[in-house]
Amino acid sequence: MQHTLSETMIRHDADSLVSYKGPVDAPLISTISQQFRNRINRCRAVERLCAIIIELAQNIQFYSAEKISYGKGDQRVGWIQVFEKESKFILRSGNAVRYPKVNKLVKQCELISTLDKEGLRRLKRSQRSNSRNIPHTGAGIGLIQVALLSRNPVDFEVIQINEEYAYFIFKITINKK
Amino acid sequence: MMTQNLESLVVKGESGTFYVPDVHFDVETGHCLLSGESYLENTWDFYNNLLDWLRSFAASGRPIKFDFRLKYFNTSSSKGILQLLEFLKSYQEKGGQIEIHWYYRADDEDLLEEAEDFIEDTKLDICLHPE
Repeated sequence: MQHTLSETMIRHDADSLVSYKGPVDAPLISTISQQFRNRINRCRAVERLCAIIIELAQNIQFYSAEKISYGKGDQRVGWIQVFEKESKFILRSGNAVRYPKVNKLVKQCELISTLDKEGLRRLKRSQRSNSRNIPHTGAGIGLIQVALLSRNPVDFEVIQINEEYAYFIFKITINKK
Repeated sequence: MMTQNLESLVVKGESGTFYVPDVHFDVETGHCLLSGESYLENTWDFYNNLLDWLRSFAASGRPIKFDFRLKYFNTSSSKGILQLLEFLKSYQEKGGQIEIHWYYRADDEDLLEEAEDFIEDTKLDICLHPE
């Protein structure tokens, strides 16, 4: 399924650069990150923003509990918004998560929020090392990497949908300088 | 020699939906270069392919010089990179001669920190080159 930016750009306010809700697949991730890489002056903040978009979008692509079925199979659904302010970018992403995983994710987010940069690096090394012989999986360090790249605390919010599912929302701030 | 039938491994980098890094592993010189960006559709298979080549080459006992010139890699790729480095470490421990260089843009603190973390993980002597 081809995505063009004209399909995905829904401006809710003047600061919104991207606002998308729907199936998240590799072509979409590429479309969004390439538009930033090509369109805006590619400073370090933009490079970090692109790297974070990839990590969070892949998180939706692989783990969202909400799926839709196409002819070729299921695709996982979530949403991504990017805002630009004078001194920063703000990225928000969200997807449905089933409850046992919600609790695990909350614990991980709470742990990440307590750690300074060196603590985050130690945690990343430890988790990457533990997953290295497990094939066909990510490294399990995407969220830690997001915290490191953003250089800001990762804000999160959990909104209960029902007894089985909740919506997990991340808010990431990336300073321009 | 075990490398008699081994050919150089060359992968042309691409940037599209995914970012495939440039790979040039030279069977004549033992010089291995991994450059560009790494965000792949099948990270496990890609890096396993590189690892398989290194294993085959290492069977000859010849020196390996590995240059990393990556500008970006996602977290799944970092796992693959760690596997390559761990293999080089094990080769060194068995008496193999290795030399590893990590090139990065001087203003790219993130890539420098990635290298520092790999050094911490593997205890390898990786030469850092800001450019």
